[in-house]
Amino acid sequence: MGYYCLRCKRIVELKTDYQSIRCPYCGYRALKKERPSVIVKKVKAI
Amino acid sequence: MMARSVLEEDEAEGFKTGMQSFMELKIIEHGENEVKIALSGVKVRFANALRRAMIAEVPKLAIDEVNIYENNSLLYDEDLALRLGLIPLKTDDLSSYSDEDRISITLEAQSPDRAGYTMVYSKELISSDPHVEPAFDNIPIVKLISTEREISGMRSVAGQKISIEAIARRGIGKEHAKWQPVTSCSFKELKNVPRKANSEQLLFTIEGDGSLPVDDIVIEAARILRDKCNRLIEELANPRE
Repeated sequence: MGYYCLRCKRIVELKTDYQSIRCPYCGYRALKKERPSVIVKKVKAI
Repeated sequence: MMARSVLEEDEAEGFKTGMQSFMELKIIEHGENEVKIALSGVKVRFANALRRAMIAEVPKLAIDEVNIYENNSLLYDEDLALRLGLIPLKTDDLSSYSDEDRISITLEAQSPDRAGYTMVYSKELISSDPHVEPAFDNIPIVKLISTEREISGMRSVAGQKISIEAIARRGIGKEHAKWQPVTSCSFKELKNVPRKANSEQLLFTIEGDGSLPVDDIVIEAARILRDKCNRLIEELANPRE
């Protein structure tokens, strides 16, 4: 599952057997799930 | 040569000239988007065919698809798309657009920074084609509201924003009412007028939606009817195996 660290902005892969949620690069504990910046919804004008 | 038995060439010619001399047309009132025509010397069924052609067969441009990038307004995406679809779009020369042509129209707006609201009007639509624009500037699309609240001395403003791209294309009223170039198109029989034998005196009222000049709508409808009749004659003259 793709997450990124809120401090160093690096992509973090979380494994299912993790002991704690922590960025492996900087140790920061706040990670955010990656989402596409723009979700385009296509709607018919009818 | 099946058509010969149906309509001989000189007979067809006589029919045309006969129609021209027999049909009388008088413009009673001519406004920017409305015209009233007194028509005599034709049957009601002909007038009705013309009326139906104006409503359902004359093409115009309208928004058909909307790509929603952001919409946290009170309107649902589908409602917003429908409202955009019903905005009449005018162009200088409709014949230069084919059914495959697409015109991109963008709209970006947001509510004010402080508590209040902004009304988004059709004038804020930006077209990729400089020859295509909304027929009227003052058609309301959506209201974007900002609300302000204070929690333990801190003020926060919750705003609304829309960011969309609308795709316009050419279509006809038969497909969807948004492609109807007329808002009202009707005729009534004038009772107290002396009339010629075997014909009615009719008062046609045609009101355009601003996307096409009202004269062009009548001309285009007549042209469509003529083309259909010509095609019928051609098909009858040269039947396919």
